[in-house]
Amino acid sequence: MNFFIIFPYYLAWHYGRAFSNIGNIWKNYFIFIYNFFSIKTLLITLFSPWRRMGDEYREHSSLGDIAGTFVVNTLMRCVGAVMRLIIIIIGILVLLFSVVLGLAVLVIWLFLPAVLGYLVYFSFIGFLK
Amino acid sequence: MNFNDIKIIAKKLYYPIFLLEDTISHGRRKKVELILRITSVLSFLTPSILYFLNMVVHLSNFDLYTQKIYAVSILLLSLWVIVIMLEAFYFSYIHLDEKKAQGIFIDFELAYTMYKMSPEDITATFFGSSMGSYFLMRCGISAEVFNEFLSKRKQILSNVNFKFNLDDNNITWEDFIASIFEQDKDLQIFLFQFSIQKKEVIEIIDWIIERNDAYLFAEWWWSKENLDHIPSIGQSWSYGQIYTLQKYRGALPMAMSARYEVHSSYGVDELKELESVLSRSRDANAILVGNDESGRLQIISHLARKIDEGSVSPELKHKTVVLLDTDSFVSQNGGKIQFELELSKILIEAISAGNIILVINNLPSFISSSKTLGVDLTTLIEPYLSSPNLQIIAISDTDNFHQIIEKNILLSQHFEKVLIKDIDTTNTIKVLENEIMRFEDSTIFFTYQSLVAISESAERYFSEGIMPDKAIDLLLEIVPKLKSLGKHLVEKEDILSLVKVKTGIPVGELTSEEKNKLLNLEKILHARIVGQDEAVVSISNAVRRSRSGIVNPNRPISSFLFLGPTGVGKTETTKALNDVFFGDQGHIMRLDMSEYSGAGALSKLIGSFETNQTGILSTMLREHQYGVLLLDEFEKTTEEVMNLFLQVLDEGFFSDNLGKKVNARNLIIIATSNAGSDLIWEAIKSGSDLSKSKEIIIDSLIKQGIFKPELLNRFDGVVLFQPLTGANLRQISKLMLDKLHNRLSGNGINLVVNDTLIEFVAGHGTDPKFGARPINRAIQEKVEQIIAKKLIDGSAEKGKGIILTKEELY
Repeated sequence: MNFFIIFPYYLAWHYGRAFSNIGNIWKNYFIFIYNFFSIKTLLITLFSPWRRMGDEYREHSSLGDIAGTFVVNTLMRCVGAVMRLIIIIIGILVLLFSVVLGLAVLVIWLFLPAVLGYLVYFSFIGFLK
Repeated sequence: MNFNDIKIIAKKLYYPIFLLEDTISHGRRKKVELILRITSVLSFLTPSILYFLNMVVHLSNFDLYTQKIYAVSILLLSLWVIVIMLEAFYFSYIHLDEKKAQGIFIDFELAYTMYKMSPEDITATFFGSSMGSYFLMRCGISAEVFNEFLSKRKQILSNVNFKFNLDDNNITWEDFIASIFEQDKDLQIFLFQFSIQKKEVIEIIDWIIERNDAYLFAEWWWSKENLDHIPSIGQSWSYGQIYTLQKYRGALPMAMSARYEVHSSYGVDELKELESVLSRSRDANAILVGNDESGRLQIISHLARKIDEGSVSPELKHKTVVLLDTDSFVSQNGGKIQFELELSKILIEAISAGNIILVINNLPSFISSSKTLGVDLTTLIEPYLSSPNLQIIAISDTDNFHQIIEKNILLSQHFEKVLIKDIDTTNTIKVLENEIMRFEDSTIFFTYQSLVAISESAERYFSEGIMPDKAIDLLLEIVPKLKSLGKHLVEKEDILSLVKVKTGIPVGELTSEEKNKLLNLEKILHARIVGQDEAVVSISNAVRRSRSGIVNPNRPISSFLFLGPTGVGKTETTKALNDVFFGDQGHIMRLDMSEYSGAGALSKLIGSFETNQTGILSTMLREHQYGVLLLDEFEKTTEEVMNLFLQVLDEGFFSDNLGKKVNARNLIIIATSNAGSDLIWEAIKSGSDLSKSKEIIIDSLIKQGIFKPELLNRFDGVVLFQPLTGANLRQISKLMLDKLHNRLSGNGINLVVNDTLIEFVAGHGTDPKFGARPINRAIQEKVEQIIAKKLIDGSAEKGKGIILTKEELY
């Protein structure tokens, strides 16, 4: 009996507050993904040397040494930039995916009660056939 | 506000899911969801298995089968989705955060419990709910006992007489349960029997709720808070590596995530202070000072955890806490130059890494071990201390902090002191509540009172160590013992009986044998002590008081001053008291105070800082914490020593030469003195009642300056021992001769103790100055002598009775 009393409450929730819940969860995940891939930090430090590796410029060193150090440091910065760019790109892709997925969830959610009712009914019939 | 009003609010907030819970509860739904998830996946896999099977052996009706299986799969899948939707529905309601701001709010669990309760009998229906019965379990109260209480109540708390005082817009479990407790007087009396009063009620419900919330929170994995705590990628990529430091990196103890533990306020302020010191732009170094070793590291672990979870100030984000294992560092770098180079390397590396919080455990001992290598650690690390790219947390105990760090100007300039405050009992219990999470399972369950008992026993009976460490150690020791005993429910008594076994101090509920003993204490003592009624009565009373637990725990168990002439039973009384109170475990520690009468008596007892000599008393009490401390001829010692005992009697401890506390709270202290014997003797001679002359005698001792009044007042009792009279002497002689008889019969010699013999022996004790001591001498010198002679000349044979005649004796 309870089920029939709950049903209208459920539907009211499904087409009411559930949307704001989904919106909130969606927002949480969006922020989470953004933070998880450290997109902001990685962009700010995009050209920092990889794990602070590299040589120090020493006083009174030859031109060759300076050039060598410059090459090594530039290389380290490049390595850092490449690694960071990879993560940033993956992060952005995942973010885009989450937007698409969120929209899909919203659309599915709209029709879910009807779809489930249909599926339950026809699978039952299908089984009995 | 009455009960029904709250129920209406509860219904308004949650009615739809009350219905859902009534139909199928959250716990059931979780199980159903799991089953449906597994079966729907399996049923989708079956058609493909059938497909391959059909290729090998041709199945008739293959198409029909697969069609039916698909139908079942879709059905199961749909049902699974429905259950998930119901769960979403449920979670959406129980996390009604937006509603907290509007009007009166009740937490879902509480609302549902109240919704299910009957307004006719609030107490019974609350304790019948799942929360209520769990509460009773934590109190160690069985359902039968509680039902019996319910049936005997005089008054029933119902909607009519239940009033709820709301102090804010949030109805909490604490408010609710406190209201029931305050208004149900029968319940108060009932719970009081289990040592539960309002404070305990609140503590227990807090404990249950915090645990429950933690589980609920863990289920809510999509919440912002849960997602926030997942560490991010690449945060450390802009920071350097610490190859050298990595070699000496020590492990920090596991810190429970702040959300999952029962929150104690222990270490919380310290952690905040630590964070604020470390967040400074320069000289962001802290020294954590406290004696609780594991507590100190726990604070560091919590800091590391908070940084990982990102819930710290922006200055501390992305930092890495690294514990330097100083012992391993010292052992691996034995030479001065090597030590200096390696440590500099570590510090330079840490600075260039840019995100390191370096933790140096036991800085004082690191300083002293580096000193033995000839390294001046302070000047070595000083240049690195003000770097904005490195933070250092040093750890120290209090004594060494004052002795070594505080005196060092360089260090105290660069390190900000963070002092760890001592923990109190409430917080110790919370620490234990977190600790027992590791042990509690289907085989073992702790009651709240058992945790209180652990905390209190650790504090009271174990003087070594620091709280809450001591309490945790006691818990760790007790768990395997209880498991081996097959104990499921751990109660206060289980803890106390294990403490009793460990210490020998009788604690806990009285056994019937013990009760009997305590009630007949006077008789038991009189079997060994002749006469001395006053002494026996006051000692018996003191023992009963102490055993019933009503005495001040911050003083010795009991203390007496025995006054009286020699040989009247003062020592025998002490021995008897030790046996009665401590049983086999007792230990009499005797100090002849006449040996501590000269200059330097105090340092002989407690040790001396100058000569670094340990004290006799402090060593004695460290070796034996439990027993009777007998101070013979107390009046002969110096005033300094008497002042020491003034403190011991008052506070139950003293400090030795190194300033370390020595515990005297588990002792019975007995001081004896024959000062005033002459007055006692005169009083007896003049025929006056000794108890009436007691005041005069004590006054005269004070006037003569033998004892200070404040010292006499500190004793639980000043007991006068009477000189022995004729009848007493005969009794004592009999007791002593019986002892001899027993000893001899062990060798097959049967000494007949008759009146002649008793009369003879008692005759030696007539000098009141020496009391019963000559009796003993008479037995040794005369009686034993004669028996020995008889055995040698053959006039007495083993096995046959030996009767000593008047002629032989006199």
